[in-house]
Formats: sequence, C-alpha cells, structure tokens
Amino acid sequence: MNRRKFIRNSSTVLLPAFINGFGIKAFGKEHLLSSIIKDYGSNNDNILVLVQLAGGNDGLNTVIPINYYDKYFKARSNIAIAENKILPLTQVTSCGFHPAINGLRDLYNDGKLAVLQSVGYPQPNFSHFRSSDIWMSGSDASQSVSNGWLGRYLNNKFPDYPAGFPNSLEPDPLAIQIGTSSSLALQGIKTPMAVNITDLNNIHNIAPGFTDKVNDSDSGRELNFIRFVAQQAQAYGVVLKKASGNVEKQAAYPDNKLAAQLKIVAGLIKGGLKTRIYMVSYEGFDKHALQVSANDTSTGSHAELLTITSEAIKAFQNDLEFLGISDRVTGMTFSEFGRRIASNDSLGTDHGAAAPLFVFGSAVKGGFIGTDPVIPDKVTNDDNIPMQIDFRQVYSTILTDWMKVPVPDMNSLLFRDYKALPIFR
Amino acid sequence: MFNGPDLSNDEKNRSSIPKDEKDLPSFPGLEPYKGPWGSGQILHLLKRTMFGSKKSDLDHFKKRTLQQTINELLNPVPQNASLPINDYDSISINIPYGTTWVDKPFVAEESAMRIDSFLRWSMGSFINQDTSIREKMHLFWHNHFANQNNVGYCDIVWKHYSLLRNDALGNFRELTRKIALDGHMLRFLNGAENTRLAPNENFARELQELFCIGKGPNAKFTEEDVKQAAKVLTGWKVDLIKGIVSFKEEDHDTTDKHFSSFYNNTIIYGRTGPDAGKEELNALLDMIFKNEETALFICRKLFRWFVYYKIDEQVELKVITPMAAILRKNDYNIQPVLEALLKSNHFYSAAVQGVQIKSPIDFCIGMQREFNVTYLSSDQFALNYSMWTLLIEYCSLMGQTYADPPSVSGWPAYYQVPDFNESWINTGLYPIRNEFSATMIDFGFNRLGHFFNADVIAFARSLSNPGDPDSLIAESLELLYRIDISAASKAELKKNTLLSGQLQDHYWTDAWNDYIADTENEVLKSVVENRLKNLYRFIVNSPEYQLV
Repeated sequence: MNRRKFIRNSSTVLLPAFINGFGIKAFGKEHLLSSIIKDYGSNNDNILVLVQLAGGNDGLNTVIPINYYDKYFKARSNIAIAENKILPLTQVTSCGFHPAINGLRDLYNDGKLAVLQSVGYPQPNFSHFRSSDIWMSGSDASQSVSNGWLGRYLNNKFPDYPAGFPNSLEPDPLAIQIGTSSSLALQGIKTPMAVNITDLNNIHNIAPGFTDKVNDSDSGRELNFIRFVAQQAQAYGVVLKKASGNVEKQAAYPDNKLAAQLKIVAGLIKGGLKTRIYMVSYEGFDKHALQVSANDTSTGSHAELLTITSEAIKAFQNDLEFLGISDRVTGMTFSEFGRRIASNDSLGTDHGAAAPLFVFGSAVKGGFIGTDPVIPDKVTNDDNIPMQIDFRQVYSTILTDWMKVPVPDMNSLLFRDYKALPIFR
Repeated sequence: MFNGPDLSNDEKNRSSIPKDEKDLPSFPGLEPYKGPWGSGQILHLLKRTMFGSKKSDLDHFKKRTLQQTINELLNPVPQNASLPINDYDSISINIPYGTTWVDKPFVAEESAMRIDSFLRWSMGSFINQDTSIREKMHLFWHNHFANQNNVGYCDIVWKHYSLLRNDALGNFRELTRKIALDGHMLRFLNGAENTRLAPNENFARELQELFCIGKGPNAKFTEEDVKQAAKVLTGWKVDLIKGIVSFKEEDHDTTDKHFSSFYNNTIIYGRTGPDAGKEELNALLDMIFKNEETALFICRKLFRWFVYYKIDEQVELKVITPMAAILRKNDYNIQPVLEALLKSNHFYSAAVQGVQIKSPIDFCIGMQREFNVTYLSSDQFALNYSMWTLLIEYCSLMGQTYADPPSVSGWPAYYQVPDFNESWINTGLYPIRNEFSATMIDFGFNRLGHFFNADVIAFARSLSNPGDPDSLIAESLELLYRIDISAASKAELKKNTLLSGQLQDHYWTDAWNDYIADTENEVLKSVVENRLKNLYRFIVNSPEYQLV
C-alpha cells in the first residue's frame, strides 16, 4: 500500500506523524496558538528524573535515627542495623545512612542530596495498589483520580497531545519511561503522555498496516489506539535513534538494571532530546521476609536493593557531570510507602506509612528537611512513622521551583495549595 | 483507555448511552443467544477461550451446535500425562535425559533447572491444548492468584501450577482454600512465617483485597479485618523441599477473631488442637464467600478476561449481577457461570467483537496454533523445548512473563485503570510484536539448527480455494482477524502481495497451479512462497492482528 493511498484513506488527524518533516502547518492556526500560549516553560529546559522504588522501601533502615537508636533497636531488633555500622554524615549526627548506600552518602556530603524526612500523606493506605495510585496521581487517600500528577502537568501544557505530535516545536517525546509499563504518574487526562523505551539498540521499522476507517465502536477505538502507537513508535523511534547516536562516551556505570536505565536517560539528555521528564523504576522492595541476613543485618536482600539504588544514582550523577549536563537535571526517588516501625518474625517488615525521600542533583540544596522520625517508647505491630511532609509538597516544590510552573497552575494540577520546601539552591 | 485524536465524536456518542429503564431491554445481557451460529461466532468463541483458532478446530465445531460446542469447551478430557522432563542435563545421574522429574526425589542443584523445564513445558502445554477452555482458565487463575517464580524449589512450583490447571474449572471457594494451604503461596505471601507472636498479614490482606473481595466501591473491609484474618491464618508451615504443608499448633493464635460490620461483626472463635487451623480457615472462607462482593468481584474478573475490560452500568446490571447470582446459586462452581457467559447475547453482540488486545501469550501461542507451526516428535524434545524457551523470552519482552507477573496483583492489563488491555501495547512493546510475527513468517526461529516457522504454503493449502487470490485473502482474513477489512483494502493487498503489483488475478492462479502440479520444484515453490510471505507478514504485522 503506497503512501498516497494511505493518506487518502486515513482520517486527517492521523496524518501528521507520517508526513515528512512532521510539519505543524497541517494542524491549523489554533493549534499553533495554543501551543505558544501554554508553553510558559519554553525558556526553561530543566529535567526531572523520577526513580521509583517499587514495593515500599523500608525507610527506617535506610535513614536510621541514631538519636532514638535504643527505641529503634527495641522495635526491630532482629533487623536493626548495628550502631557501629551506620554510615555517619557531615553536619548531622542525629541520624545516619544504611551502610549499603555510601554512594548516596557521598552525594550528601557533597551537598547534592536532600533527605526529606517522613514523607507521606494523611490517612495512609496499606495496599500497594491504592498507595501507588495515590502517589502517582497526587490524590488524597480518599480520592480516586485516574491520571497522574506529571500527566496532568504535560496535558495542561500540551492539551492537543497526542494529535499532531511529534511536530517541529515538540519533535521529541514529552516524557520517557524506561521499561515496558506505563505509569499512572505519566497518564494524562485522556492518554498516556510518555513514550516507553526498552532498548535503544532495538528500534524497528513498524509496518503501516491497513488504513480502513475505523468503526464507531470499542473495537474501532482499540484499533485506532494500536495504529496510533505504531505511528508514534515509528516517528519517535527515528528521533530516539538519532539522539542515542549523538553520544560517544559516557562515564562508568555499575552492572545493574537501574543503572542501565539511568544510563539511557543520561545519554538521551546529552544526545539533545528536549524531553523534560524521565521515569525509571526498580522493584522488589516489598520485603515481608528475609530483608536482612540473620547473621549480619547490614547484609541481605534489602541491603542489595539499596546498594543497587545507591550505586546507580551515584554513577548517574557522575555521568551527568562528565557530560556537562548536571545543572539541568534533578532526580527524585519515591516509594508507595515505608514499612512498619516494628519488624515481624520473618526478618522482614509489613506495609507502613511515611518514609524518607531523596532529591538529588547539582541544583539541589543538600541536607535534611524535616526532623528525625520519633519512635514511641512502646512500639506495637501497628505503629507507623507519622507523616511530617506531604509528598505533594515535594511535587509542588519541584513543579514551581524546578519546572517553573506558575503557582496558580500548579495549584490546579495538585488540586490545592501546598507549602513549598527549601529543596533547591 | 485510549481516547485518541480522531475519536472525539465517538466519545460523545458513547457517553450518551441511554440510561432510562425503557432502553434497557434492548441491551444484550446474560440471556441466551439465539442468533445465527456460523464461522464468525465460532471463531470469536475459540479465540477467546483458547489460544488462537485453528482451521481444523473451526471445521470441527462447524458440525456442532452452540450448546455442543460449549459442552466440549467446558469439559476438558483428562490430560494424557505429558510431564515436564529433564531437558537440561544430558548426563544427569538423577533423572535420565528426556524423562520426567515430577515425583522424583528433590535434588537441590537441579531444582532451578527443573523449574525452567516446567516453564518451557508450559508453553508446550498451551500450544498442544485440547479443544477446551482449560489452558486459558489456567492462565486466568494464575493471573488471579498471582505468584512469582523466584525460588528454587521445583516441587512446590509444580504443585502450585498443577493445582491451577487441575482445578481450572472447579469450585472457586475450594480453589481458594487449596491456595491458602499451597506451599508456593505460603512461601510467596509469607503465610508460612505468620505466627501467633509475630503475625505476618501479607496473605490475609491479599486474600481479601486481591483474591476474594476486591477493592471495588463496596469492598469495605477494614485494616482490622486484615489483622484478624492474619490471626486466623497463623501456624501454617511449608517444607519447601518436599512441598509438604503442615500446621504447628503452638504457632496458632487461639484467641477469638472479631471482624467488622462489613462481615456482619462475625466472630471466628479461637480453636485449639491439630485441626484448629483448618477449622478456622473454613470459617474465614465461609465468612468471605458469604459476602456478595466475592461473587461480583470474580465475575467482573471473568468478564474482563473473556469479554472486555470496560464495565459500565448496563454491563454491571445486565451481565455481572446475573453472573454473580448464578455463581452463588451454584455454590461457587465456575462451570455454570462460564457456560452462561459464553452462551449469552452479550458475548455474541457486535459491541464486544474484536475489542480485546491479545496478551503476549495469546499472541505468541495463538500464532503457533493458527499457523500450525510444526513441533517435532517427543524424541526430538530438545528442539521443542528450545523453541519454547524462545516463546517464554519473547512473551517476556512483550510484557508477560509466565509464572512471574510484575506483582501479586497479576498483570496490569487486567486491573490498571484506565489502560487495562491497552497496557500490552506501547511504543516500546509494539515493535517487539512486529519483530516476532514477521520472523515467524519470513524465516522462522533457528533452534539448534531446526527452523520453527509459520509454513505459509501449508496454511494456504488448508484453505478452500487458494488458487483464487480473492478467496485466499478473504478466507485468511476471516480466520485470522476479528475485524472486517474493506473490499478496497483487500484488493489493494492482493495487488501488492499476491499479484506483485499486477492487475490480473490469473498471474497468481497460474503460479499456484504450476506449483501444485509440481510441488517438488523449488523454483515454482519459491514463486508462491515469496508472495504468500508478503501477504501473511502484512496480515500478522497489522494492528488488526493484535485484536481478538
């Protein structure tokens, strides 16, 4: 089926992605206009990289409250990190890091890591599903929202997406998620706002397929969806291939799956993509059992996860500096919840609530925000770390201070006003 | 759910679905379907209840009524025991090469390899399914009682997946009971570490949230219910090596368990003695299965699996609610409710044809079956198992790793609002599907020197009149697609593939007849084969082939 035939048969809005040059004039004036009006962040090219630690990271064994060590030890003696193994930090003595995260400790000591204490939300939910959805959507615990905080941000900025994308003003993906799943955080009002990448060495040509007009039905809608993805994969595939070919040398990364994802991100940024949001993910933090080795609590499966996380982030920051792009990039870790204060008998921890969150990068004002979590004298199985910082305060600060979203817009994106935090320099 | 660029008008139409009572009777619900029974209906039913539809299965069921077809699909013949074998160590001193390791003594250093062999065997089991719904129900239960295969104890893995196969058409409550005491599940959700002194609530939570009650708007069980259920479930242990599950009385919480008003303030009285665990589990399941949410929840999941992910008010009222009533009336036996669904007006209504995006397993396995990919006799097991490895890997690349879903919630395609099935397709995943299906058509996959491929000539020969290019294309599309293709597109496809850009049909007819007259002639063969490859590659690489 030739190109001309394809164009004649297909409905008009599907055209642009297949027309050479991805010209914007095909869309009419109002599209051009709306793009300019909404493009308030156009002279800002700051980039946000989200690092999801899926499963619920044990915050109390990540940032350990030395000031309350006795209570900490009493509550979780079978998994507590020995006091003499805790990594000390400059300037702060009331808490320290898990011995596996010396990469993050280095970033902290260099003033490139902010530790936000006890981040969570009111009325914590202990279901992976719900709590992930709450974090991704930015909703209240009692509210059901089926789009994401960054999806709304991008949707607000590019209301026509995906119609007419990519185009000459926005030739690159609006957001990139490494891996094959589509995160709710990047879900727009109507459609996912991110492009998924698994392997840059493996970008294929996509068959055009039939061009019959789709039926006005669910099957027509699904067919249209697949056709659209096929066209986007083809169009963005060209862009990504080009960007990834622009970078000859990157700094060294450890051999783990999180590092591999972050390496792709650094390469694409350096390669010239205008994409401002990236998301990577690492899973396995749901440690109900055997999170530590019985004979040495500083080792075990949680320590391995933390090592991978810490080494990958440290290498990423090194690479950004090596590539000369570190001023433009800020990263943030998040997890759907922390764990209970008390451990269980299986050398593990059950689903909990608030936990520390890291923001890293050259633009970040290093140090602690918030005070050390208070551990009660008598800890029951149900006790959780109370929230000090609402995670939406973090989102709000990142959107306004980093992504330069005007405050009124930001308030509507997050449904209300949140108090900003001193995260950035 | 995609509401892409050129469907803005459709969206308006869809949101105006009439909600008046007077409009409801016209909505196709769970009442029995009385319309025509032909290829379209049979193919729809087969593609939903099996992995792909083989031409031979279509021909088989064409001679049967709807009721006879349903009876056959829902009553699998007992499997004739092909079991996973040692394909991993040709000089093993434990299990002779090529013979099964099932029920043989546990060997620690072989356990992980046996699990891998089981995974490969599972692909074979899907491909070699009988004409029944069992394998798709097996995958349904696997997605439902999701478990991850991250442990090296082959016997509990084998038992777990055998249970999900043997009880695939059994009783939901009994299956849940067996799952609660299943070694692989006791390990995965930490049930085996749940004790009186240190309750571990992992399984107790998922039993309610993911397995029975769900998290719908009326699923109002409380955090306290999770804790109380965890107490009920204390004391179970599993011997990971032997796969034996036992109950340790002294680890069981013998206090009374008080549940919330959601469960009518049920009290499960603490019991002592060797049967305390079983008795309290029974009481817990009685309580959970008495709750109406349980039937509604599993029926919604069955609907999403076999019909479509979209459940609006009318579907809830006219399909889900009566399904749940049938399930409860039949004491949670699965067969009657499946029968009602697969015989219903709703199932055969135009609105749900071709709306499902195939899962990667459905896509890869379905293609093996629809194109009759030739697997070898059992003495050539190493080649077959090697191809099954490749299928596991491709399904995994496409986002579905059998026996290792991303979480205890199963695959997002069956629960993640709003994308559901659409999460199987994105800019990263779709190209991998194309790569796989094109390779199956063009070259096949080379496994240890043998090529497993879709034999396009054999496929064409199975059709009624392959010398007629219009008939060949129309029949191929009928078998492979659930979406209609316009006459103009078929003509274009014919011209671009079978006719190599020419306009006269007889060019193809002549080439085909020449080949049939002398099938040993490699030149004549290559003439038709090259054109058929162009045709079938286009068909399987098109978005339409992703839908079922």
